[in-house]
Amino acid sequence: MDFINLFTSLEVSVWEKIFWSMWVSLGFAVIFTTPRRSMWVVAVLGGLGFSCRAFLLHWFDDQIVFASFISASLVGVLGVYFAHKVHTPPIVFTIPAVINIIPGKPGYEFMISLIEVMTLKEGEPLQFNYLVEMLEKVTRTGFTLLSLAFGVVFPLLIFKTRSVKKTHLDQLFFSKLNVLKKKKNSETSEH
Amino acid sequence: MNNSSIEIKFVGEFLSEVAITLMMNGANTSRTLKNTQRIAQGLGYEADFFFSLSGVVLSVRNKETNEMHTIVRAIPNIGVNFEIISEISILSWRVVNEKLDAYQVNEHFNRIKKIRHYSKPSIWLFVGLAGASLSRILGGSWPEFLITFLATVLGLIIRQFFTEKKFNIFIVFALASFTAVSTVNIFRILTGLDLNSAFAASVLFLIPGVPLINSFIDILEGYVAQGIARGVHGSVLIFVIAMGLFLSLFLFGYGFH
Repeated sequence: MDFINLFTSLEVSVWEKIFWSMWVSLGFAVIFTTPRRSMWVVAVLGGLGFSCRAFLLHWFDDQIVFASFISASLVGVLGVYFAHKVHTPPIVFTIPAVINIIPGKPGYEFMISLIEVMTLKEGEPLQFNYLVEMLEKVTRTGFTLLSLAFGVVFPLLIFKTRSVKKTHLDQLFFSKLNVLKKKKNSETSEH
Repeated sequence: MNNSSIEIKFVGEFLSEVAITLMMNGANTSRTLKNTQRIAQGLGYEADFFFSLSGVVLSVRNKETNEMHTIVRAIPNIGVNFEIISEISILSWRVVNEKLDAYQVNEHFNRIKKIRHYSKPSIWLFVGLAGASLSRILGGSWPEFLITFLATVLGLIIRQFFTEKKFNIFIVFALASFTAVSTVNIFRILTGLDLNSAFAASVLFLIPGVPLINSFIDILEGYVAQGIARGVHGSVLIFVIAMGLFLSLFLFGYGFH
């Protein structure tokens, strides 16, 4: 095996991808000027979201829309939790964190197939598979993006009745538990 | 003019400034509304807003004297700065909890407005690394890693240069994407390698993630007009990025066959 070949045909392992995904999130956090104190959250959430998607893709055989939605929701829910730890609104670190699950490759391939159709010469027949490929890529990219956005947003819509500051996830959980216990107690005392 | 009417004008001016700063730096509409109204309540006023993407109409009412003041301000379009948003959010809670008066709040706010982006070299380093990492995630090799780093940094420098010259944002994005893709293209011609992941990753630093996600949030929370405006803005940015990519591929010959 010559030197060039060794250098170019390196297989990228999942762990390495997870490591790089943190750097992607950090880079976007720097563009958006996320405060320094919440950088570690960006890295952690970025890594978690990416590994969740990698795991789901492995389990559910290339269901990229579903996998992106679940991992974006995970990032969104954890964002509500971490907002108290670093005293920043959740959006500040959830947007950079989900950016590493943006469907880059299908998006790029969609643009390429679009260019292939656009640059056909006069009289050259349009091949059907160009169109089918284009349609497939645009559907997949569009819906992945939508599900990403929705995954990030819906925890905010559910928990933020007035402000995230008033919703501690753990307290919310325990208070619900207490209500359930009381109900049970009152039911048992009645009978 | 008596004292309270001077103060209500001051507060109106100041609140509209807060709203504009939040919208300019990438806050969604409901966050802007909540933070400004929280500050207004803390100061003893009631505020009502009408937002659009390019302007804001605000009227404040003094709760005791029922005096009203209305103000219309334009929103100039400047990039995203999340640190300002989070500092304003903290300030709005301080107004409620520590009972600051209008002039103190204004002083704090002026300090917040001065927050700048990170220094240019650190942006180049981190964003270059982000682009390079993305090419690695997409299955690129180490040469592609380096090429993407270089392309991203060059694209960023172009973007910052033309943004400082106050060019139209769409032209800036087209030029940046053209530069980044052309860099990869030149390396493709020089080395003869197939640089597919580098092509895909080199323009990703331009992706308008904040306008697109904010547009979705706005629509879901009922601010449909602003949401559509932001969505159209983000989509046109994507279109412009694709145009830069297309132009570069057209000039250098198609490398994707």
